[in-house]
Amino acid sequence: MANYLLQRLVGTIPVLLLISLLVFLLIHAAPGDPTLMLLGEETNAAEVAKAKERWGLDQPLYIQYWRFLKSAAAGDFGKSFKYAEPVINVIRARLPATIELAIFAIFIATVLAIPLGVWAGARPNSWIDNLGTTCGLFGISMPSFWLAIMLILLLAGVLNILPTSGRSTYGIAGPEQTGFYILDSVMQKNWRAVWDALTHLFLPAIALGVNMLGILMRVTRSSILEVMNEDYVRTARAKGLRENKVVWRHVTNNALIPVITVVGLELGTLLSGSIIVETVFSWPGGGSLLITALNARDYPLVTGLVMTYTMAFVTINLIIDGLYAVVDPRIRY
Amino acid sequence: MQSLTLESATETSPSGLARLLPRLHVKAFTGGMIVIAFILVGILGPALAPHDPNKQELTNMMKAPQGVGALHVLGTDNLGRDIFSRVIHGSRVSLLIAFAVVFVSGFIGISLGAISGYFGGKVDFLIQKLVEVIWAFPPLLLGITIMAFLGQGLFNLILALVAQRWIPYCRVVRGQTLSLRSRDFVTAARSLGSGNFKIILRHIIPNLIQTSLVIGTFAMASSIIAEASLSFLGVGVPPEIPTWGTMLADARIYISTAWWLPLFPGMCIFITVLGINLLGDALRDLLDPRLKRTGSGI
Repeated sequence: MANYLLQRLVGTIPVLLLISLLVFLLIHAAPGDPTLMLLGEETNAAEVAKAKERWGLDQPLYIQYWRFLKSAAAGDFGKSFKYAEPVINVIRARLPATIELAIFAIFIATVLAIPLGVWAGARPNSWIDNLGTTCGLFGISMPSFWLAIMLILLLAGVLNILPTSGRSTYGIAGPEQTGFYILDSVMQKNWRAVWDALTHLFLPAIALGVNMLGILMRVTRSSILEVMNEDYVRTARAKGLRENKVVWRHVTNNALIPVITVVGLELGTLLSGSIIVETVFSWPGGGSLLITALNARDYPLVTGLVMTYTMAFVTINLIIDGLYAVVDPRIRY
Repeated sequence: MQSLTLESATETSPSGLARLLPRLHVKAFTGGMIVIAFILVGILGPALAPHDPNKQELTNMMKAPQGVGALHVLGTDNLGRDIFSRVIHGSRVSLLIAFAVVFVSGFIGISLGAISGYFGGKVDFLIQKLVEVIWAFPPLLLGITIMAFLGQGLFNLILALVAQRWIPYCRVVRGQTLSLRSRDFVTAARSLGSGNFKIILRHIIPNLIQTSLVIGTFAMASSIIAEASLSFLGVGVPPEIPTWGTMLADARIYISTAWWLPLFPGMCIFITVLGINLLGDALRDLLDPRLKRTGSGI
């Protein structure tokens, strides 16, 4: 087990290297000279040459890549053009907001999708199955950013009961400690701030979670359908267990294993979804930061964010693979 | 790292199939009708639209929907452009992107997958490394990165979407080719003197069409959403082309004052994607129930 995970860990290194190469080459394929962009139109050749030398742009491509790699390995993606701060600091300040949002979106999606999927799968073609299947289909077909806009329109514009932008109301939250507002407020026993942060989280988390909800529901349902045909389910029924107990104890435990993989897989979609949902809700996380950085042509920041998101995705899937063996004792690596 | 887990067919018993059929019809019919309507509107767009989608009528801006028969059926936007005409024209871009992306990525994915599975060895290793690297990017992020560095444009957009969408084809096709290549009819063809590429073209690929069709429908749904997302973020098609995504982006600042601006383009995306997913579901149930576990299919 530990051996396998170590092997996988080593296996991700070439993947990360290739990703960095791909991102690096993309930056250099970009139209427009970054020096001109930064120095403005009115510069002379001498200044451009000096700037190129300073940023190392006069070196051959492979040397530039080597330098990029060396500093990236140390977590140094250079200085952000826009914020004039090291990229890594800018990202670190924004990441807790994205993680908080992602955790809540996953929470909402799983809490709704798994019971719905289990009910639907346990009674195929019943009304609950039809309802669940329709919800699942709507969930996977829903463009999350449109849902976000419509939620704002309905709940905030018409009913005016929930906040639609930012992470907290100004002045309620105490000083930042971890950057996770709910955790911070709970530690400071500031319950009003906890409630405030939750209300801010609610709409973005729903918009972000709806795709995952649809997919999880469908996967849970088909997984339940499959397990219902197993011999041990028939045995459990034959020994006189109530149907509820059969479904929730014997079927669900085994059917949920593939669901875990799908949660891991869908995290990638969730991360990309967060980019848009954060933009719509002005959520100060990594996703809206990426869009700001793109519009400002802040290449170091864009590169840093893309690398951070990709590494996070690779790492999470590694963890999920390990988790898989924990929940299913039959799996031995 | 992530695999499309193939599950055993769950609903194959005769009674199961009988129970499945009515629902299959509903799915296939509804989905089919939506997709046909989408294709027709996309092709006939300019003939159906009552106004020029880009014509600005500043005296007539921000008009609420006026209903069937009126001048501006679905109202006008902040520049006085007719929403109904823009929504119709928007379907053209979605249609073009969807089909271009599905065919190009299908071609690349099926070819590489078949080559990878058939030859094995070093070729297989290289292709699978490529798959692994590209699959390590969160889905939309690679598209955003490519568009950010290459610039807006229809061609770049197709490139950015294809960059990741050939992967599901490649993975599934490789798996199937692995099992197909040791089948009797392949051995027979080889002993009759067929070359490798002839075997792949004549004997392997025809067996992969059904599965690829199913993957293709889901890839189509996801490219429509991805195109709208990228255009919404301002890194998709150039702003002068009306698309559902750019319409939503324009509508963002008017959410509180003009509900009809975001409602209609978003509704179009939702219904189109729903239709394609319904059709994809029906196709999958019919052709390849083993793909069921993959959820959305991509």
